[in-house]
Amino acid sequence: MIELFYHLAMMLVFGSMVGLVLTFMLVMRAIARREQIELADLMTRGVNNE
Amino acid sequence: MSSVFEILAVGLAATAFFGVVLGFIAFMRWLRYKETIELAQRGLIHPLHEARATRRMNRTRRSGIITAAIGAAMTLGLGTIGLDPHTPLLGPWLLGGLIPLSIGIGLIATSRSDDGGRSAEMLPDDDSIPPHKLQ
Repeated sequence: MIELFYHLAMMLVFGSMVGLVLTFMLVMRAIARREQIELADLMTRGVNNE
Repeated sequence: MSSVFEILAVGLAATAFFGVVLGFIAFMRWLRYKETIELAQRGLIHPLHEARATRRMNRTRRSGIITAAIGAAMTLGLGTIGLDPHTPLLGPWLLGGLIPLSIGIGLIATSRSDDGGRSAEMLPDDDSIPPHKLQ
């Protein structure tokens, strides 16, 4: 029984690490994509705060 | 039972530590994104944004060379295991060096094969000043 909990704890730690890295990659990608979209939008519309 | 709690404590502490570090990197990236957009709204180009495009290919090549060099060194180092008379000359332990070596070679090849098309595409335009800003 203790061995089962031991493996569950290992899986929990490993899963949280993987989830953390995947979330980080997702956030970085989302920021980069949003930046590209907003820059493209600015380039098409032009800057109008003269 | 205590070993379960030990693993949980150490693992979750490490996760929290990396979470803080990665969160800080993401926050810095978000700040740069806001800065880039604010500058672009004023008709300016973020210096990092401009320089990054031209540096990207060099960075791929550089990281490929570093990875390949580390892989070659590890292959040589792990190859000494095969010098032991009780073990075969070649074995799966060499994978520890061959994998980074192959990744490095792949990165170098990619940066070379894409060089013609992408470097021209990524060079900053000569007319980086928007037309409506020209007097």
